[in-house]
Amino acid sequence: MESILEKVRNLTSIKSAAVLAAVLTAVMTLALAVRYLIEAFTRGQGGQFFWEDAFEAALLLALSAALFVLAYFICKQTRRMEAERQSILDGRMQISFQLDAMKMHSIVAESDLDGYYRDVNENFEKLFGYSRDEIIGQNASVLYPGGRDNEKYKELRGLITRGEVFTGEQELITKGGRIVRVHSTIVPVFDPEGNHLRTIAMSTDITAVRKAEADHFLTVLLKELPDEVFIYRVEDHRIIFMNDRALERCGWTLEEARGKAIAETTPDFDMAFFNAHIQPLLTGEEETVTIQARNQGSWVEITTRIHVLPDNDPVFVSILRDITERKRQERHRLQVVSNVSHELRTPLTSIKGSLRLLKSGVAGDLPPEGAQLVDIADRNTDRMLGVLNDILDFEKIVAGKMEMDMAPLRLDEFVKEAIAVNTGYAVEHRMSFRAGELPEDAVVMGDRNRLMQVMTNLMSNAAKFSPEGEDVVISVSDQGSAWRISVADKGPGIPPEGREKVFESFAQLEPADGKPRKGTGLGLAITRRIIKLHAGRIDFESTLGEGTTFHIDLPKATVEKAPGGESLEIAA
Amino acid sequence: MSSKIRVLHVDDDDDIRVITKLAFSLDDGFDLEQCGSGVEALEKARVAPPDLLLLDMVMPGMDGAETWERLKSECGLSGTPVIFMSARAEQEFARKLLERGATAVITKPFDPMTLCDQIREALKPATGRGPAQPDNLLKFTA
Repeated sequence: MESILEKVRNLTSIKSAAVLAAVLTAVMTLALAVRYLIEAFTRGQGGQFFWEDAFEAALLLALSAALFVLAYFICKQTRRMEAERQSILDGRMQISFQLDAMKMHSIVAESDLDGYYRDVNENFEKLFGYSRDEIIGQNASVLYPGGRDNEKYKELRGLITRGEVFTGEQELITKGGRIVRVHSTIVPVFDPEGNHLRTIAMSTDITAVRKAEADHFLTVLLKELPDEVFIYRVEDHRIIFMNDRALERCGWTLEEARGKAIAETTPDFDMAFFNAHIQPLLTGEEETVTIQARNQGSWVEITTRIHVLPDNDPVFVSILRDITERKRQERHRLQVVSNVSHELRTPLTSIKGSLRLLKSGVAGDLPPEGAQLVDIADRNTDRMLGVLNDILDFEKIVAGKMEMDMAPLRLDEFVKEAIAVNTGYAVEHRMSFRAGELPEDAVVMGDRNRLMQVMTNLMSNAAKFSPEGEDVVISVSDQGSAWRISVADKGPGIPPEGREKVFESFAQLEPADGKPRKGTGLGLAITRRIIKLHAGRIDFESTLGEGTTFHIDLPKATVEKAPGGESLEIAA
Repeated sequence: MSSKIRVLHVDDDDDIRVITKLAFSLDDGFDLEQCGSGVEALEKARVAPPDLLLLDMVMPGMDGAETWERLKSECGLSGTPVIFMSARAEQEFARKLLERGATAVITKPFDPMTLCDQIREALKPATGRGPAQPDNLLKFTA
């Protein structure tokens, strides 16, 4: 480009000289023609006209005119060329400005055919953290997470090699390992013969834009969420944020809400209930807690977790969802299940009663095979009843209808009773239950029937998994603020991956010894719920091939000797 | 005069009546009268007032609770102990009956071999909770 413009400039100068020469020659020729003309009139005497001189003068005039015309055309063309040259110069200046602007705004990199960097601009250095010297000679794949195996990198290499232009977003990685999102246009550059010379990549950092978009989306989502959202400080329960739904119910603006205590959000706020709700979060026992409560005539479900703000200030985030309709449906479902249970129990009463009477010999002695068949029918009727009870209990739990009939309970007597009640399982599985340590002062507040259901569940499981002839030991120990009932078996154990699953509804783990056992998979889910309703905990320790010990921790009931009397006064 | 306890058993289910009859046949301390509906129960109670009412809870037409109310008001049986037999397993349901004055609630299925023992247990004056109660017997002891 430079040399062409130089040539144009040189040519313009030559043309100007030519014009000057042509004009001078034309003037001189004109002068000569005038002279010849004068001579033609004046050389002869007496009015003689010299046609010869006149002819020469005419020729010179014509030559002069031609030279003027030539000078005019040369002049005109020279002006046009000069204008074009000026226009090219202006254009170049424009492009230069635009290029500078682009380089200032964009991240620009130039690479060779194989993607090795040849040059990068300052923005590139700033964003990716590589100095110009550092990056030149490196392959563009260093910016892609996973390097040359990165799918995007492979796709782009394919496009560039085929001579196609890429425009779009991509995720790149900086020298420091930070992921950045850029919008890029990558253009392969070719020479006039179509040879790929190099590749120019121009990018804009849109990480912040995308994050802002995401933040905006989340803010809108949070504001317009149909659930109520409360963010308040752990330290003093002062509100930092409430979403639109929550503000609407409380009749506040966000400014009015800020600084108020969470307890002010509803007249039904129960501080003791709230403290019990958040306790597992404060002790680190749970990451998220969920409770159901009555709030201004509706049923609500409150889920709370602790979140640490960027300034290290811990806050509670509570989400309150209206579950009145869900509760209504649960009650309806419980009613249906309850009716079905009743309808099934009535014929089962006849079946079980008949079998019991047959077994007892009321209707005469049975032949051995007959007795065996009656036994099978009787056992399976019990199983069916067990399933019915589990399903009904489970529905009660779902509907929040499981109620506890609490009374003081001496655990030594209770465990002995549990062993007596569950002897049938020991006989069936050819093992035995044995009482371990049973402190006489171990007293808890509990629903005897429900806790017996828990013991039956744990003991029947232990019996099922216990090797023949082995003992399952049931003991009570002091755990400070709680009494612990332990049921220890020598079964195949529970694999670590089953730890959480065992307490899930309908969970049936693959047994460690490969032998499947019968059950609904509801027993431990129900057990856990019953223990929770006693403000207790259930957990287990297990070693594969050695056995499993289930623990139930129940809060101690405070026992005081009544003054002057033998009786015990017990308070939860 | 017989010292047997006269029991009026009301249950709409024929099979359960048969099993209950067999269960009572194992114990000669009771004299059992049976019928399949509340209406029949009122007629029988008018003729021969029983010492104990054994009522099924869920029955078509007049249910156990209504039968009990009418037996009390129309047949002068307000002082007669009543034991409900119910296939409803909910404790809450049983508690409501106990609160209304029922002597006990026996949940179905019951064990015919120990039914009479359970009834005797329920009829004993309340002396606090014993060491072991049958699973399906809920007795009002408060």
